[in-house]
Amino acid sequence: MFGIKWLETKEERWRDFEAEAMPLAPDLYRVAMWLARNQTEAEDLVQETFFQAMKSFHRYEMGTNCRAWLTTIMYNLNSKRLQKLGRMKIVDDPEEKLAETIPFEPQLPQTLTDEEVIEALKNVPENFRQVIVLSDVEGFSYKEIAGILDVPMGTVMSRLSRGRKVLRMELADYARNHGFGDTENKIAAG
Amino acid sequence: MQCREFNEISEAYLSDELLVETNIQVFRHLENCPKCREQFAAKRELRNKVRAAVKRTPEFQINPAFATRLSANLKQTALRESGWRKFLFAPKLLIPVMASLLIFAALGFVFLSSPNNQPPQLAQSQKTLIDGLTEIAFKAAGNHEDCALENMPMWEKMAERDYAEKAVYTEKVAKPLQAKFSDKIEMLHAHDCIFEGKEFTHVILRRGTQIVSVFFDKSDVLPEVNTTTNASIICEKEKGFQVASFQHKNQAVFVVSEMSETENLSVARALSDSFAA
Repeated sequence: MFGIKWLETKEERWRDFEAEAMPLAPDLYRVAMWLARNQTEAEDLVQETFFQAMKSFHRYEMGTNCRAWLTTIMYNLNSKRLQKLGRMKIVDDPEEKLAETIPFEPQLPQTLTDEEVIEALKNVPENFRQVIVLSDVEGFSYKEIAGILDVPMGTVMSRLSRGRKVLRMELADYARNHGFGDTENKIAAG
Repeated sequence: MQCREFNEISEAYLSDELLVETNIQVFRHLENCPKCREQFAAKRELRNKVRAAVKRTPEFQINPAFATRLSANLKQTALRESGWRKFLFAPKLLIPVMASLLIFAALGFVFLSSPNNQPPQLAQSQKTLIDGLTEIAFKAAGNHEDCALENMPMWEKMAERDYAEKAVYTEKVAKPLQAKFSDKIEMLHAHDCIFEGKEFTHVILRRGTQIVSVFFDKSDVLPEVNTTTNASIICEKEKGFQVASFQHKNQAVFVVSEMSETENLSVARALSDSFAA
């Protein structure tokens, strides 16, 4: 009403929330599937996120980045959930050390199925995987990812760079194990 | 730009994070360096594959039935919440609203204290209004069925969350009952809702295996009375539920459940005495 949030009727508020937030449910679910262990957990997380978002909607500025706002809420809820379950990891990052040991850019197979790509991404350590999902899959900027994960931008850049290397290594390993590399060499030599 | 320089920023370039001027330098380098061009093309192709693979894989597609259910549940909750409750609880407005209410209350007290402004004796119309509790009790029973029982999975999920209203009604409703009864009484949810035009504050509890609703009628049209212990409680059976109603100050309170009349009444008695204390 008059563009003033606290004068809005509940119908007007729902209409705004429905238009702004609800179309993002598929995007939220896609990210939730990387945070949760299964479909049920992911749906629970998405539902909690939307209920929390609706409660906090008066704090959201219409027309700003609703997707980043919702994703931040979801990550916060997930952190609390993991803390409660005792599943929260201490932030001393052996995964960072792993990425530092990768000395070269591996050759990738020419053809990759969706399943192979997903499987390789699932094998990437979590800290790197989260950033790859938020950047390469969901298209968030470094700044947005830093806000969502509550880490410095430099950490985002570092994890993304290293994570992509680990992903390429996973895919190159897969290719070697399934003989793709050998086939390519034979074709080149032939 | 040299190859080493390009390698240092290639990841940021892949993520479209570079400034326009830097992008131009990158374009020029890639035009003239086939090796960097080929390596970068492979990285970009992989990035595109990852994005496409996730978006195509059924595992990452939202279940349409879940999406529909989510929207319906959210809408139901949103339209039940009182706009005025949001107004009153909006943090930025709470202090000025409370201050305004205090000022009006003080002015009203001064006005009413004047000998010429004493409230009239309880009229027949007001006795009729109290009798109207029965009509509201019917709506309270309907609201218990429609709101508490129908949406129980949602209330159970939200039982673990903390918010201002929950804290208020835990103190006001749940704790006095927990002190009075030996069986487990759990606070599930507190919100405002409307049923057939009647607005209530609705507190949902679980006592053992029974779901109990405590409704506070928000219309505040009853004449103020001094609530004492052993106040009158009206017991009725509406729509198959036990409804015990009593008055607290100028508000009607309803306890609704499928417990026996005696058990439901004992909950209402415990609350009535707690409010009067």
